[in-house]
Amino acid sequence: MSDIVYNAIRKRVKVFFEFIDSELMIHPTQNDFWEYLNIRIPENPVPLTDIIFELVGKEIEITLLLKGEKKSINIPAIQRETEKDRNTYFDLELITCDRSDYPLIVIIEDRTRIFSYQQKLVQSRNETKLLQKQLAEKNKALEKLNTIIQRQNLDLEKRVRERTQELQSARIEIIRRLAQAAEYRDPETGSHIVRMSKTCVLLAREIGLSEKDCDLIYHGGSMHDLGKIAIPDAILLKPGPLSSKEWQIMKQHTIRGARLLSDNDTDLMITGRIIARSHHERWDGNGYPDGISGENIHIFARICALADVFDALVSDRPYKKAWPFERAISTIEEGSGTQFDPEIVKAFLDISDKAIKLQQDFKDKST
Amino acid sequence: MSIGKNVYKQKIVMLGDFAVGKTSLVNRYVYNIFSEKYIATLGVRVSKKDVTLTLNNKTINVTILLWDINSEDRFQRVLPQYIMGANGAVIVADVTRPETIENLKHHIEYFRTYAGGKGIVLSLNKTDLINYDQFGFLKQKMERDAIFSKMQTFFTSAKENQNIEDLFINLARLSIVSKEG
Ligand SMILES: Nc1nc2c(ncn2[C@@H]2O[C@H](COP(=O)(O)OP(=O)(O)OP(=O)(O)O)[C@@H](O)[C@H]2O)c(=O)[nH]1
Ligand SMILES: [Fe+2]
Ligand SMILES: [Fe+2]
Ligand SMILES: [Mg+2]
Repeated sequence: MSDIVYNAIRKRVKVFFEFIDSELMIHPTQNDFWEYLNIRIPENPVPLTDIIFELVGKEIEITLLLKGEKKSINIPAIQRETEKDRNTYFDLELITCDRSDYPLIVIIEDRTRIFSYQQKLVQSRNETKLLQKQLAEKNKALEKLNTIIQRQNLDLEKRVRERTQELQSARIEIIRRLAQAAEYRDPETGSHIVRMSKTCVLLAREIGLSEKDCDLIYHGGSMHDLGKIAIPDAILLKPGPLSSKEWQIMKQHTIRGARLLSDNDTDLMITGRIIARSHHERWDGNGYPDGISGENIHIFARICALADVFDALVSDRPYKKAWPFERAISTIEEGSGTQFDPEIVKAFLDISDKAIKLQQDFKDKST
Repeated sequence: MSIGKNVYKQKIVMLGDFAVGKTSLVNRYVYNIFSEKYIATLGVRVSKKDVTLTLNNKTINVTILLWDINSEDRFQRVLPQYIMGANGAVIVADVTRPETIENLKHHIEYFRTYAGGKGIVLSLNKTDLINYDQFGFLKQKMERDAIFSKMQTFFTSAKENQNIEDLFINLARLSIVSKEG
């Protein structure tokens, strides 16, 4: 083979070799071998493992090779930085040679191109795996954050509920005091409101209203005569009978009361408004201020109407003595279908014992 | 076996899952450099480091040949040729990836298959990424493990140069002793 052809092939396949003697010294005979490794060609033979230090640890195998008990020693994919920032990859092979002066040959075959390509594959595969792991972790952290936020939300909701509750009871308190203030000017006595609203609850429960409605009617009921605040003393406290003009003004306490409780749409305010306006309506439509009848009158107002009258009948008033219970009860009964809702009258008769007991428990202090 | 006068040559292999820091440990120890950038190792890269040890009041010069080896996956295996003839191994895990710690056992097994009962030290690397509590927890876990508790374990950080010198020097000692014994 001509040198030219031989060199051309060698350049293409990029295989380099060098000779080794029996003392395991490498002899500098092939320029391109040293060139490839980027090592200055030594003047004298050098220990093999000084140059090919990848062979340290292979001493026993080399002995076997020299004895002919092993064909070759291979170390694939060796990476070396032959120049700064220039990586080369090569496969290393140590084989026997039939020359007596050089029993071994070391061969290196450049594999930089194929292994660089393979390196990129491994790199992207590993980076993907790391990224997946990071993403999974981020996800986990996010989930954790989510549950924390959810818990905080629940906490906030609870606090809002508590605050609302507080506001609600503050509002109830204010209304109670307003109602009380109205009472001070009212010839109707102090415990009227308490008895009347408690009687309302007895009735509401008997006809099957919900506990929430019972609660509403209890607080709302105490506001029924709130509007009397707006009635002048001369009329409100007048000992004798009222003139028809005065009576017209007196009747206004329903509308005035409802107006005082407007501009607020909580259930309680709505209830108070209904009761204040309609507690003087009659089942047959002859009541005031709207003259509505039957079920057009809100159930809360129908209940209050009965409880209000019953309590008035059995209480002392400046112009009359308290009636005995039996008489009051039969008067209510007579009003069934005219003044009162028959259903509520029926319920009243069923709870009359409790209503009487309530009267005794919350009797007026001696006036 | 030593070649040259009074100089031990020691082949130490780096084993462990991908990206645990094998290359970074070598780079820190031999060249005192660290890079955040991850470059997956393909095949093997051998680095040399000369150290002086004192063992039984004798001063010994050792040339450590550190075999930084690729991790194993579908594209590449850790070849037995790489491990055969080794005097010791640093087997590395990443403290932030629990599975790499579990896999230490697999690498220990593999090393023993091809290198016999040579010295092994464990490196739990990237300690700069965990807090004190996590560190304590890990330490306990290692001490309670039947296999790990019998081995020398070093908590290292290639990034912050923690415990690296200790790791390699102790392994060099261990491998000389196991070689002579
Ligand atoms: N924070 C921190 N990062 C580290 C540490 N050691 C290595 N790393 C980073 O971890 C990544 C992987 O490091 P390598 O040293 O390349 O890991 P390897 O084990 O050689 O990976 P393969 O060659 O693929 O097996 C790189 O981005 C390093 O910068 C360390 O102690 N702390
Ligand atoms: Fe009234
Ligand atoms: Fe009243
Ligand atoms: Mg690496």
